[in-house]
Amino acid sequence: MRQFLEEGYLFDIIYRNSVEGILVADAKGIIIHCNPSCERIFDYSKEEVVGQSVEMLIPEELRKKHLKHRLGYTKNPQFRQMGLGLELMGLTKKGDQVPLEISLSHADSEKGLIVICFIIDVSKRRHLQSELEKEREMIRQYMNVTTSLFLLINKEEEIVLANNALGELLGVSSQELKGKNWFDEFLPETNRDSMRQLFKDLIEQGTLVSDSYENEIVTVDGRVRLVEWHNTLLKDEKGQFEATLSSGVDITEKRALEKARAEALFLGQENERKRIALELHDGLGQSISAINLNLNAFEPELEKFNKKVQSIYTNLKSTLNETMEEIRSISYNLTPRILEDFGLGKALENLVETLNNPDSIKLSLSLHGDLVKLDKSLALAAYRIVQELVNNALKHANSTEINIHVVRVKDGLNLLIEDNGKGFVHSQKTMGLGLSNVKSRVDILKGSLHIDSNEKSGTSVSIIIPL
Amino acid sequence: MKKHRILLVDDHALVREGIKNSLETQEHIEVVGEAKDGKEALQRLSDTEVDVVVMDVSMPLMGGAETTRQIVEKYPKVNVLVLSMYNEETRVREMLKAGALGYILKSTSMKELLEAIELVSKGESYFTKEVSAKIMNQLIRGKSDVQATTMSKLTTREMQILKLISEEFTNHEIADKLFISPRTVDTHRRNLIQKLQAKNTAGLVRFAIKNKISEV
Repeated sequence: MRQFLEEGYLFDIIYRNSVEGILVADAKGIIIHCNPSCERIFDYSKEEVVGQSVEMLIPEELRKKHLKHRLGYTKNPQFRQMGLGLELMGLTKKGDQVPLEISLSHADSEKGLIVICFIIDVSKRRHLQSELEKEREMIRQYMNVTTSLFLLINKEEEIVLANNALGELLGVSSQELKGKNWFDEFLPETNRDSMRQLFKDLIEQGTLVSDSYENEIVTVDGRVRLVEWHNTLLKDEKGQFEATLSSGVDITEKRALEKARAEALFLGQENERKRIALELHDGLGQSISAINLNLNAFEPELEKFNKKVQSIYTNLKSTLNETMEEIRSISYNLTPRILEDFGLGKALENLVETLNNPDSIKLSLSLHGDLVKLDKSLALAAYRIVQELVNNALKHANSTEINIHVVRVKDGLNLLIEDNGKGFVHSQKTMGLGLSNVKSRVDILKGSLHIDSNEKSGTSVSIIIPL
Repeated sequence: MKKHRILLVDDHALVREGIKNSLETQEHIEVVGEAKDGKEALQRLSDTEVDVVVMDVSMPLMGGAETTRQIVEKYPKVNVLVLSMYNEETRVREMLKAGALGYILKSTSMKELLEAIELVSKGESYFTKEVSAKIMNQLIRGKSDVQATTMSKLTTREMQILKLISEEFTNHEIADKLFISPRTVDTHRRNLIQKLQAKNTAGLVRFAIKNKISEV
């Protein structure tokens, strides 16, 4: 061995600077040599260990076993690689135990067989590993107790991982979910294709259009639930997107509650409007009418009075007329009575007639199909929707032309309101109050809403309400 | 001179009172009865001789339109003058259809009320200016409605889309050309099918060719 080391300075450097501890012992287990790394691992100096048995570096309780292994090795020495090497505990000078990874090699020398041990202190690695284990366990536990839904889908659309909450919701154990095709098994047919496309775009382009998506899923027993998802893209080692990790919340009940609340709000609002309109028209309106008609009795007598009295009378009459007109229009705006008495078509005709202004705005109304026999609340909702959208077009889009199409089809009602205005950006965040009112009215009617808006061609809002 | 015999029909006592008070001084007019709804009005008519009924539009039990219809049917000699707060064309038209001869608003003046009673009692008609303007409007529009072919009911945008459909462009291509979304094009397509009573897109194409829309 000495001969081997003397062969070159280079080997000496390697030996001294190796991060691994190197320890050389003879066939009887007596330490012949150890390098600085080895000194550091055990906290002994070279002088303290050379000439001692290697067992001094082994904890008491393992010494017998080690001896047996050592004797076995000297009888049948073979190279043991580091990764596959033995792992055992070492004993430092201070009496501390350190986990070690050891590989063995051997050589023949003039003194007989010598054994070379390469030693790595793995206590740091051990520590990290157990931390990682703990963290993994925590995540596993979290995923199992949380009510949030977790779903990992690979690019083959297969479920890689689903937590207990998702399993329970779907009615399949999370184990059984693994490997199933998410889109085929758990999405309703109606939006399967569009969701699939969304997923494909996500994986291929890596673009998350919005931080959350809402979509319906179907459970094993056919129930439909609405889930809000937050998606993250996962990359493989080459940096390609390979999976999506989604956390979701079942918002079915929440949404139903919101809808019921909106519905109640609209209903309450309409009832209140109707009440006020009625009181205005039939109460105040009739009283003022009565005043006017009573006042008429003076008219034949007027010539008997001077000019001043006559002009007071004229003023009084015109103020009364203006007041009556105002009451009439406020009351009509609150609740279009024509709608109730003559149906949606007439009410819309009246709306268009009132808004049309040859100098600034041209509204055209195109009605088709039977709009009289519509359900009253549906007719009112449709009227309000059109009113709101026309107001939007007038107020916010500077339109000069508005087309309103109301078409009764076999199984529904199509509304299409087009304008030639400046358009608007229609992300949910910029949706005005008017438009969000329209949206919740459409939601209540289980209809669909599509907005098409740009600067070149104005805004088209199309709404389909099923009957 | 024979006095005009008037029946006042209005559910508001205050209003009836007002009319009565103003007519009191008129020697050639006599208010012979009052009713608060259509049912009462018909009862009064059965035992009272009346020339003109001054009729409100909205009343409980039996409204102005239905009451007018029944009066005109049962008492052809009785003429109906509407006195209402409503000025919407739809209401006016409904009352005229029911058989009313005149229509004035509750904001009327004495002069107008007397003139209207005078004319209506003779079987002629009287409309307050605001109302007659609306009826004229409707007449003009109504005439054009009759003349309108199915085609001119379509909007410019619908014509554009129908033309492009007949030229066999797809929804996407049409959308690109008109700067709108394919979904809006689809809504138009469906509306067109409904409006032109076509069965499908092929029907639209046939309509377009027949009506030479592709040459427009």
